[in-house]
Amino acid sequence: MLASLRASVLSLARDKALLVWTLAFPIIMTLIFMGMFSGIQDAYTTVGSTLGVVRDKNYSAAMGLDETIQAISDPTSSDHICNVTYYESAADAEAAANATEVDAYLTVDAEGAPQLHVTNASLSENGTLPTSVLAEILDTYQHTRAAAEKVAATRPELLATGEAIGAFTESAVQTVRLTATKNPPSPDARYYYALLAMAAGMGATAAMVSVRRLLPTAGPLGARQALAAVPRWRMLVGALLGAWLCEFACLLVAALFMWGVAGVSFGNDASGVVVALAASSLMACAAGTLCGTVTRMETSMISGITCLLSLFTGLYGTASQQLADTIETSVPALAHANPLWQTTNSFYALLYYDTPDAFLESVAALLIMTLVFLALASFRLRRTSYDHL
Amino acid sequence: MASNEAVVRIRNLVKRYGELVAVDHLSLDIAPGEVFGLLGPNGSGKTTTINCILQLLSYDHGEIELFGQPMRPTSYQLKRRIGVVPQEVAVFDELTVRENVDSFCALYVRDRARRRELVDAAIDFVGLQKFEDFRPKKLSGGLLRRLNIACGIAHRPELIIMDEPTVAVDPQSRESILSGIERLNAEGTTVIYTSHYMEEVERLCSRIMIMDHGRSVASGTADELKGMIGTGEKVSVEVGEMDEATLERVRSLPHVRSAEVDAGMLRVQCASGAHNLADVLGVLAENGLSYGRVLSEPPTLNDVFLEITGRALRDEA
Repeated sequence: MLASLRASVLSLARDKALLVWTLAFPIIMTLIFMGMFSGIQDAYTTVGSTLGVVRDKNYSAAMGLDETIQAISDPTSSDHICNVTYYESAADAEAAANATEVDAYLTVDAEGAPQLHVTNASLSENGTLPTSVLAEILDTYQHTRAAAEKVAATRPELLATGEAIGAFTESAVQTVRLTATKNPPSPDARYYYALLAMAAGMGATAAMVSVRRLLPTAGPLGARQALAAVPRWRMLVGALLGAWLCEFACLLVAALFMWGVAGVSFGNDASGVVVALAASSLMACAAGTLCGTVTRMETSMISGITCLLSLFTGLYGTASQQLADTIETSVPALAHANPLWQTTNSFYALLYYDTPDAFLESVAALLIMTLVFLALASFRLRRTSYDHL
Repeated sequence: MASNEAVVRIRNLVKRYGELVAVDHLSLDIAPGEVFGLLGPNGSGKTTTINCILQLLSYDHGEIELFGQPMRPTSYQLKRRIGVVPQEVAVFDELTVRENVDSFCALYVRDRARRRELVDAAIDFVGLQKFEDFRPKKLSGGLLRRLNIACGIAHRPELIIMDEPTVAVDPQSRESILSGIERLNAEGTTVIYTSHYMEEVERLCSRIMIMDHGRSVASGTADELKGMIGTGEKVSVEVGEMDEATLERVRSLPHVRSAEVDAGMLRVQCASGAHNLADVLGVLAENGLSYGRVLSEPPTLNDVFLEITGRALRDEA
């Protein structure tokens, strides 16, 4: 077994085609993705807005409004939400908004009520998100101001104590960052995970090549090794282990490259990532073993199958991701039967889920697929024994 | 030959592929220390017989014993005593010469230190010391063949099966391979050797079997085989010009099968006879013909092979 393992590792480590697909390919694609996704990352992170403020006498008279605006526009503050530009008149502010220099502008009426003005040009340029955040803040300001006026009218003695003022100012503006997932959402992680899954799928060729070298039906090298003084199953296990070690090492290097160079997040559970890589590479090797028993099957067919299955992991862009999501929602069994989807999902589960259940489910699915592939492979190997030369 | 002495003992081996009988009730014994030549045209059943011996193929009927024990696909102890040099070069393209020899040796020998000695010896034996770190793609055809042999003999098998090991190699490499086989045999190794090069078989083999249509059609030493056929020597005489009447007199000699003059050379193919050369020269002298060079070639194994298996082309549908 050690002999075939060693031969398998040495051969695969020097097989340029395999190294290209299992190591160079994900690294090169990672570099390409880095360039492609830098814009996407910016789009997802730019949630601040620009606000024009008409600083007239009404604005100055509005109780606490200037303090509120300064609080949310202080770039050193954790409450920083927008950048403020001051204008002398509403006309100037409107012109700036029309020119999309600001997302919206603020005026204060004679009664001291702030009003937020949004132009169509700004909406079409920036969407509703920046202004809705500002609207929410102004709404909060008005509620706070109304409460303070009511207290001043009914129980003015309370305003004399610092406790009441503190309560109003504390509730005046609060921004809270809410996260539904264990780690912050990463818009491009899905691509990288799908890429790793694809590389794992491509790695099936390693096992295919290793196993085929042991088949007496596949060529003189296989026939020669069939004469060895060791049981064939031990040689097959050795070859399979060798292929798995090579593929696992390649995937690990690729994942480290993604993490270290591209900054792809895999969550905080490094051991989980290793387990996911080990399980996915084992599954791919088992699939490659099965393919290796079909002597007429070319390695290019594994590439084709892998490319097809990657379509349903969302590797090829938003359309591919929508298709994958649709299948997952409408025919979940079909999505779950895709080994590359399970690989992608195992990384997803590590990143986003609080509990390990989803991760363990994906790993278990990969291991079950491994067993199924190996069972089918051994069945075929028994049938294609010595009489098929 | 007593069966307990035979390295290989086959009795009534039958292998069919559907309607085609590839091996037809073949029996043979190979004694220890023999170099046994297995000859036959393409499709005669040589390789099928070897694959049956090695249990790469199952067979329909018959018994195969190696070293006195029945050979089975799981006879790993017996397999340890066998080495195979296949017709096609069967090595790992990605491994170096040393790694290749070591990988195949490791299929039979676990102990690493012992293996190192065996690998060194095998590489020395085939003269690949300078190419230890070369990968097969960097080797010439002859060197590849030698590597192929080294991979088959590294574990010091007692029985080596060589299937056309000298195909497509230059004369120097062929000589190296043949002398290597002679050395192996001198060390006591039994060899089964198949080849289409009759001069190799004649040089190496102590016994020869000619197969055709899955059957043994002749077997014995090279001399015994030559004695089995009626073909005698070929006589070539430099005569310049020769009249038709004299040529007819030569043709009418008792052991002459054919005679013709080609570019001043009289070429006479004789049946086996004691005085063929003297008879031919006697006719020339009687007719007053002077002659120059005289050459008498005894029958070769190739003549025997063609006489037994016929001259019709094989490999045709």
